[in-house]
Amino acid sequence: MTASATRRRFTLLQKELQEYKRSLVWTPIAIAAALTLLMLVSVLVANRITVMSDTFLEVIAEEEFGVSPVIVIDLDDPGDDAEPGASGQRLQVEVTPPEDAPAEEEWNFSREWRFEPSKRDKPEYEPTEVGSLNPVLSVIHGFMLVVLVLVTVNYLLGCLYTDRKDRSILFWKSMPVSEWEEVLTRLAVALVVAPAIYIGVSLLLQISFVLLAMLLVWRLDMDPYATILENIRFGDLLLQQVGGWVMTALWVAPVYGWLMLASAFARRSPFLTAIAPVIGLALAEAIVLGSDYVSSAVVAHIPHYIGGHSVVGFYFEGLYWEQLNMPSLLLGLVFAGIAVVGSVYLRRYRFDH
Amino acid sequence: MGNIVEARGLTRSFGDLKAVDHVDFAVPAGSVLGLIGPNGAGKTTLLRALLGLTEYQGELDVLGNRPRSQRARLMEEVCFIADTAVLPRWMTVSQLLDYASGVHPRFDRSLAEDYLKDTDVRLKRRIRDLSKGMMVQVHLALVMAIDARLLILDEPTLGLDILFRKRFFEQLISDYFDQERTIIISTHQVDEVQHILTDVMFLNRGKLVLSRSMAEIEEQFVQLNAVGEAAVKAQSIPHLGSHSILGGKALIYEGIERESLAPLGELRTPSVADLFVAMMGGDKS
Repeated sequence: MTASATRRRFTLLQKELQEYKRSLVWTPIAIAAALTLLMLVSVLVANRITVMSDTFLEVIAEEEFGVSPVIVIDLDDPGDDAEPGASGQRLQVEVTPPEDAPAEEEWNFSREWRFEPSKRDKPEYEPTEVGSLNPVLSVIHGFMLVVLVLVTVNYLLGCLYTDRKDRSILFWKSMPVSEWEEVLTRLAVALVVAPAIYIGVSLLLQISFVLLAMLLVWRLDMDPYATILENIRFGDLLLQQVGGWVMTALWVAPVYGWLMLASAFARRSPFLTAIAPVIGLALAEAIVLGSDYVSSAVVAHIPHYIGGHSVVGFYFEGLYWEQLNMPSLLLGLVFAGIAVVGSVYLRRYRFDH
Repeated sequence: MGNIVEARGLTRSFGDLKAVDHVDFAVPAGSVLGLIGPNGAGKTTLLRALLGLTEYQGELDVLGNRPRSQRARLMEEVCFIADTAVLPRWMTVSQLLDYASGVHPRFDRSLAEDYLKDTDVRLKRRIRDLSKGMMVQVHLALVMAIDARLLILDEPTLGLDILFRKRFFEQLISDYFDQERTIIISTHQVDEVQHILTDVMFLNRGKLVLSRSMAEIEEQFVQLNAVGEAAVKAQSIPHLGSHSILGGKALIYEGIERESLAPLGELRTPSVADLFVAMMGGDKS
């Protein structure tokens, strides 16, 4: 019995992925392939074509030679500092001329050079530099997540609507699958399965970026292990990106639930059905009460990388959990539950409109 | 044995309109019931009520389940073709069979593939690329591969040409039907299904007009083909309806001694279609 239950769940999920194969499966793969290719070309042909390799080089330069793009001069007594100022100055000579070629005024030292003693003096500065490539990889990941959310919104708006529109619901209803199974399968696709695919592809993409960066560095006659691998904290990345989604999923659940409800309710446009009442309610509230509870509640549950204010990172530090707006999270989950029940009800009793 | 479906006072109204109006009926196990009625008679609504697809008032029992709240469970033993061309168009035939075998405990995939072997349908094809006739073949193959106790077909051959329609019903009876299964068919093409029916139900404006077995119809109804003077005489005897035939009238009587009519002309059992027209249209003399 458990075997057939598992198979059943698998079949239901498989059907969703087949129906939305292009947006849920091929899109992330195509994006990853395109970005990898772009990076590969930039590594092989011109080392500085893409922004991404630029960023890599910047970080590498900073790490390797102790120079940041902002030229730093150490006015302290050279004797105090253990750091070899010589290497910094040597590079400074190399970097400055091409950028400051034309004018004499560039030699106005007092304006251009900055004094940053704090950076140099703190011994803790070195350890925090490890992992300095993490932000670069997070940018890639963030981009994949933006695509994920857009694709998921599209999926949710269509998932309980298109089969009503093309009347294939009359076939689905002839199968022994309950409305609960149908709705929960779709929610699981939106919250778990699609993110798992996108995040999985994103992780592969990041690995290929790291490998390509190592290739780039190797071509520059540097040590790829020291410059690249030692600058990435894989554990942190995994925790932030996988764990981050767990957090995001909890926050975004009410929005997804609402979209699904709109999809089950809509007669013509699920998009308008989803958007119009929210805007109407927010406007009415602003005009009548002069407050913004509705809009702020909505915005709080939209991931910040697509314009909302919700959290995306995931950290186990106590402070972070204290900052979390627990009532908002719980209310959101209650709302998501209501939306699911509503979707099941509509799917069962009001599909024929 | 016993009844597969029992309904008492089954009613479904849309506002003022009663699509199904206090209908009582029972469908015995092992029967092939033809549900016949003009457009808008409430056939589809009645069948949807049986399938748990629409609300209703009154009592309804299908295989011991209340369809409205237990549709998913009911669907393990009931299958239906609610309309032509409702298969999901984006799927391939193979994906469709995968889905059915994944969620339906009584579905036999190899049986379905066997049925499809005799057709032009290839498993790799997408549903949307099939002709309408092929879609119906796929749907029928799928439905016949389910070991169900009750099969409900709502206008299954609508829009198909006569060859497809004939093959559809032939296959249904020869490959699928046995004494333990029950089939309910609603259709306009009464003539084409008449020979496979064991029971008929006439529905008009939501009301049940007639519900008999074919044997009872043979017993209780008689059609008299009378020509000339006999036709005039025959028309004076109370009859359900009549229509013109070459040189005279064909009249349909209910519950009358055959011997009393014999002198007036040729006697026969009316076709379901003629009986239906007679009962719906009344006397068209």
